[in-house]
Amino acid sequence: MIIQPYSYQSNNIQSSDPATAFNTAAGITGSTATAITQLVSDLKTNGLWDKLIIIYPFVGGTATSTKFNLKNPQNTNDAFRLTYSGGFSYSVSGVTGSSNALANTNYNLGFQNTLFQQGINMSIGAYRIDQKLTPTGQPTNRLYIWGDITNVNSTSYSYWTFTGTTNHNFENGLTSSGAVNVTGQTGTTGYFVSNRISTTSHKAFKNGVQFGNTNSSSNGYPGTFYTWPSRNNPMGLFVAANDGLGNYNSDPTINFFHLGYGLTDTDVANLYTIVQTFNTTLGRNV
Amino acid sequence: MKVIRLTEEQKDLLVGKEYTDDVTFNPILDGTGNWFITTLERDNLTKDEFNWIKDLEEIDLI
Repeated sequence: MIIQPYSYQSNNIQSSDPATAFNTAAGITGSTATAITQLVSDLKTNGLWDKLIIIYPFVGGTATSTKFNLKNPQNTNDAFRLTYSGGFSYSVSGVTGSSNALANTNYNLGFQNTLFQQGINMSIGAYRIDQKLTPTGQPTNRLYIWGDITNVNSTSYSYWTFTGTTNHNFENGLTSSGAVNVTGQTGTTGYFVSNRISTTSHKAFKNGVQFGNTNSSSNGYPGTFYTWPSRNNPMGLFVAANDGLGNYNSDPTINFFHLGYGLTDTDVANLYTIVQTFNTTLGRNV
Repeated sequence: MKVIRLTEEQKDLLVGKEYTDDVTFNPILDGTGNWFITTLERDNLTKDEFNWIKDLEEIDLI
């Protein structure tokens, strides 16, 4: 019996190749399908494929085409497909949120008691293409990329904020003392990565290069705070918390997102190069 | 920014329902206690059973 390294079943179509499975599930053809195939090849060649759990390439320009997880393109929540709720704009350049946008990754940080799901061995990355110099309509003029959609206020333990062009804040499964706060920036575009490889090493990166200081504060684990079922925390995009008032929903434009295990600095640099090549091929790089 | 104002009853009819493939309505409250959805949800509507939202009042988001 021949055992294939990968096997996906999506919409009753089986494929041993993840790129083919994704393109079939998402209805992607032509040059974009070729770019997806190259993306998968590059991630595997650089040893990154197995380190990532979720990859949203946001291709095809519709809710249906952008909801699939490249790592497991099955049309189920268990495969971490995105579930969209609220107002969105979709284009081949990416997905844009709004004042009530919520994209549920169906990934739950508190679901299992592993270092990854405690946020201790974890990386999160989003490629943002919109330049919002003076964001409005959100608390203290913030924009949000990612956060805990069950929390009703800003005490979510994993979220990102962009306050104007200068102050970027990256929480990553931590208490606030473990965040990386970056000031003095000149814009809001690029591939932003938050990366934690231990309880005392949390770094932020922009376009493959570390920015801000390494936060060496302990994240306070172990404890019951992160542990299922006391913490049932599905994570969302375009949102930092869900207070039912739209205070933590937001409208950045994102065209690539990853969630995976903690990466080395070299991994982060290589991942940026691969994603930048991918987006350049699609004509949507910044 | 303009949004679409809803009554409580209208909100209940929309919560969790798809307005186009793979996207559901997400009514939320504004700062004055009015339920609303975004104009994006109205403009991208493809499910005919919700065509009535096209006749609803636009208000400024507070």
